[in-house]
Amino acid sequence: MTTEKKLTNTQKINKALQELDETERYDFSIVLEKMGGAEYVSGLMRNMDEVHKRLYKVRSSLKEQYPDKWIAWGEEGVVAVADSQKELLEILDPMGLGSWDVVTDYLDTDPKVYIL
Amino acid sequence: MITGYFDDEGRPRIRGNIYIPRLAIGERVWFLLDTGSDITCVGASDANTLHIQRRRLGVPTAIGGIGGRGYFSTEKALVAFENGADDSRFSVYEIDLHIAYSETGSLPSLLGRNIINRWRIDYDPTNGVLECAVRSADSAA
Repeated sequence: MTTEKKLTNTQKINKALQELDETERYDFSIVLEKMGGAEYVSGLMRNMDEVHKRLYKVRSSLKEQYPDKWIAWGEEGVVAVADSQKELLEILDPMGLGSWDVVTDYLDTDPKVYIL
Repeated sequence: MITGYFDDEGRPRIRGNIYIPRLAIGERVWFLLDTGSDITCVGASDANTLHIQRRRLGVPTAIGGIGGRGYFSTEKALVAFENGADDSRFSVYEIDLHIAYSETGSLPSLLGRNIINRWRIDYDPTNGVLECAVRSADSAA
C-alpha cells in the first residue's frame, strides 16, 4: 500500500503553474483554471484574508512575545519564528508552506516612517 | 468592488494576485496603495517570499523616490484583483512589474498609478472603508 503525501495549497498552486506550457502562461483565464478555477482561488484568498485578520487582532501581543522577529502565521496560529526572513523561508520551504498557507510578518517594535 | 483595509499603521492595503509568466511564479501580495507612485513594484521582502531569484532577472535600473533611490528589474506580469466577496471573477492588468533587485529592505510592494488610475477609489480611513470600483481592466477572468 502506498500513501500519497498531501500537498499544501502552495505546493498545489506551484505545481499547477510549473505545468503550464509557453502558450498558456500569458492567458490569466487559463492560469486561473490550472490553479483550480476562479472560485477555488477566491476561496483560498478569502481564507488567507481571515488568517491575516486573525493575525492583526493579536499582532500587538505577538510583538511582545516575539519582538523584532519574523513569524509565519497560519490557521492554527504561529507556525515558525526566526531572526531573519531568510531563516524563516528556510524553515517554511521544506514544509511546503508559502503565501497560500501562511502569512509572514516582521514584528517590528520600532516601525519606520515611510516617505515614498 | 475591490476591497482593501487599513493596517495597524493606518496604511491602505490592497490584496492582489501577481503572476509572472516567464518565471511561472504566482502569489498573493498585499500592496500599499500609493497614488504618488508612477509604477507598481514588488518590494524586497515580498520578492523574497515569491522566491524570485534575482540572478534570473534582467539588468536593474535605478528608480528614484522621495525617500531615496532603489534598483528594480522589470518583468511582464499579470496582476489580478478579486472583484468582490460576492463575485469570484478577477480584473486583470498586464503590466511591466518592477521588482526590487536587492534582497534586503523594508519597503513594501506598491500599487501605483499604472493600475489605480483605472479605478475609482472610496478612501475613508475614519470609517475603515477602502473600496475600489474597476473602471477598466485589460481582461477579466
